[in-house]
Amino acid sequence: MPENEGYAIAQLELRGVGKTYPSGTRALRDVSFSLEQGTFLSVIGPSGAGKTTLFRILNGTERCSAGEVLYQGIPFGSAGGRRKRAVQKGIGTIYQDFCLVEQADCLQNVLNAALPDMHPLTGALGIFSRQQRLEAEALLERVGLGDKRGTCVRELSGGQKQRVAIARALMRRPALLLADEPVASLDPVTGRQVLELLRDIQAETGVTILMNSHNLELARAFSRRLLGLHGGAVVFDGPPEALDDAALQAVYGEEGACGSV
Amino acid sequence: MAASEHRQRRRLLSALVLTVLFLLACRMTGVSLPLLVRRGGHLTDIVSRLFPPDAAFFPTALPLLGATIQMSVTGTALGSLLALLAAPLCARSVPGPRFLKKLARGCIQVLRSFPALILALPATFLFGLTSFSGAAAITVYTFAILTRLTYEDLETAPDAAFRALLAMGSPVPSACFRALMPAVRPAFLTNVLYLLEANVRHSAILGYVGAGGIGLLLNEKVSWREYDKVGAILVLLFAAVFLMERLGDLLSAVVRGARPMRRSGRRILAAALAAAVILCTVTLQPPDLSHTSPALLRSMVSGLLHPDWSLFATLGGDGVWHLLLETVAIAFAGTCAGAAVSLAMVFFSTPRLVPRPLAAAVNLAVLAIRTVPFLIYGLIFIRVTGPGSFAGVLTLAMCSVGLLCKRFAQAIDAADFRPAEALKSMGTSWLPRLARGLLPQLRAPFASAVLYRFDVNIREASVLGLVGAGGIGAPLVFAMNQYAWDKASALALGLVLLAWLVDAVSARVRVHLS
Repeated sequence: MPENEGYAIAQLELRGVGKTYPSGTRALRDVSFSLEQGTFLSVIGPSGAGKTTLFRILNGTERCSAGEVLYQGIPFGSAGGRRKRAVQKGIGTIYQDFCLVEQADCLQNVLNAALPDMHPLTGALGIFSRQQRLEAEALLERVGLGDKRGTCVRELSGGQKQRVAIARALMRRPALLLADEPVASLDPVTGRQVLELLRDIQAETGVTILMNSHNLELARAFSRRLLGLHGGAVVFDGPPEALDDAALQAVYGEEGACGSV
Repeated sequence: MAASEHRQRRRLLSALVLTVLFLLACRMTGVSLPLLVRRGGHLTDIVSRLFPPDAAFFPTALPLLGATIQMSVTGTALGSLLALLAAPLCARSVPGPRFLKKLARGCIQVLRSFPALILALPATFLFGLTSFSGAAAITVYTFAILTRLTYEDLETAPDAAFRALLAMGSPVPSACFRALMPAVRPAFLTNVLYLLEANVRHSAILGYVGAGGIGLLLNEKVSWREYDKVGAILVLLFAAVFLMERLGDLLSAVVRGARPMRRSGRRILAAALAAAVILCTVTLQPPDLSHTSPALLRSMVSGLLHPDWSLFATLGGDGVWHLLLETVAIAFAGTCAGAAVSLAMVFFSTPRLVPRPLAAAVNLAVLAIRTVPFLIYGLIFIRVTGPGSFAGVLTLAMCSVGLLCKRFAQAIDAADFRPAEALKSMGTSWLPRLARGLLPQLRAPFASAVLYRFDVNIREASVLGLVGAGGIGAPLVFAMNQYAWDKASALALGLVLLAWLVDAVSARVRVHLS
């Protein structure tokens, strides 16, 4: 594992992040943690614990209303415009519902990840360089879909779609990969295969992975660190082995302890 | 070779072919931007003189508007009823003599080739210059379209229950109406409602050939350049179309079950609608048969049965082939231009992409564009460009914008915005986001809407000749007015041929799209 021991500043750092929606709902309160390069962290917690809000702040869809998010030392949680976009470019994201263009083929979907670096016009017209095409093809090969590059995404299975989404995220050569419930729409076997792929990719590239998951079993099996949220606050932060019954109860409340373990 | 590149290259090629065809069509129809720019002032002049509408004119126009609605209600109701009976005769899934089915389908295809206005002209020869003629034309028009739609629905409807009843030994008609018809009923009613709304617009111009309604008055006021009165008529028409559209939306919500209603409520509604239809029908202006003679009928039938083949033998300006080509060119250029304008406009008409007030304003403008009967656009554009095909192209472009904007907006509303959101979170700016995240989803529905509009435009292009805007319509109407039935028959045959060709081509393209 290429863990970078001498990394000076934490890659991602949250300082007292809070989020209150205009409706008055407090989704996050005083969330602080920092992440070293090359970690596999899973955010766990019951529905409504704030996992999705945290994810949306990290990928720049929403701004936090308190505290700050630092990415490689650059604050961006409350930033907007060009500065935020610059940070977003270095983060890869995969989603529960894939968010692919179903009518376009796999290669085109992967190539879409090159758009942020291109002139808007050439991007809109879809004029990609030979190098970009070769890279996209190599990534599809890497996720095991080398023979599907001309196939419409609409015709793929759920697991294959998530592989295309992973290839698209990798096309950004990210240092941080955000995964929002990446296996929630997949059957257990396919879900495990997708996570194995993510773990292999991490081993090869040293990318940091931050995953949202309500599947405790898989999160435990694949993560090196777990972050438990309850009611918008961090109630557990440690390795999977440290997650004992008391900690489980803190995260999931009364009935959660006997859940999916 | 990778399929991905191959597909892109094919798309590029078809875009190129379309552009070349468009330029050829523009050349043939005499499209000239400098002329439009130079004389565009006349257009804004006419439009500004429509306002304010002459309110004192409302009492004169209102009864004629009533007659227009009467014609369309009666025609739609009768046509739908006949279609209900004829559709099983045509449907292949219902047992019956094959020969009869072929014949029935052929007749429907022939009738379907003619716009309501062309049907109205022979109707006036038979039933005089009355709104009865208009209602007759609308009936035949509705009958042809609806029979086609319904028998296609019947052929794809689930027929297990129908075959079960047949196997029990029940007679074909009763099995059909008990087991097959219920499956297509919602689609049928939706189509009827759509046609009712469209027929109000069609009826509004039937007066142009003397078949009753508000069209005669509209034509007269345009010719006399009393634009404030034209404005008044258009305002009334706008109100009528708006109300019909609302009523249609309401009724189709009931039909789809989106608006729950108690059984008694449904019965009252059905009874009220039936009463309205009967009222419209019995108060219709009776036919004027004083000019109809057996001799006229005989010459009409024998002329129609003996087309003047010489019109097919020439490639010259008055031959069928040249006229058809011109008609196609007008429809094609008009559709392309309209599609381009709609494409630019539609992204401002959905609240998903622009602020709500802006979207509402654009939508209202589109509705206004849709309200004006297309022949009126023809009459107005003639004043701008002079008579000829160019006016026809502008007219059809305008009408296409009215419909395509609506269809395009529906496609955008149904689209999935999550891929575009994902691109946004990577830091992609808006143009490539729309182009690569949203547009691929819209290609197929947009293309099918344009194809449908092209089909409609071909039919409308064949009546543009009435106002001097080119195409096959002018010689056809001219021939009929002169009782030159052999010539009319040849030209009508050309229209049938054209409609059949367009049907075949668009069926091909549709398969390709899906």
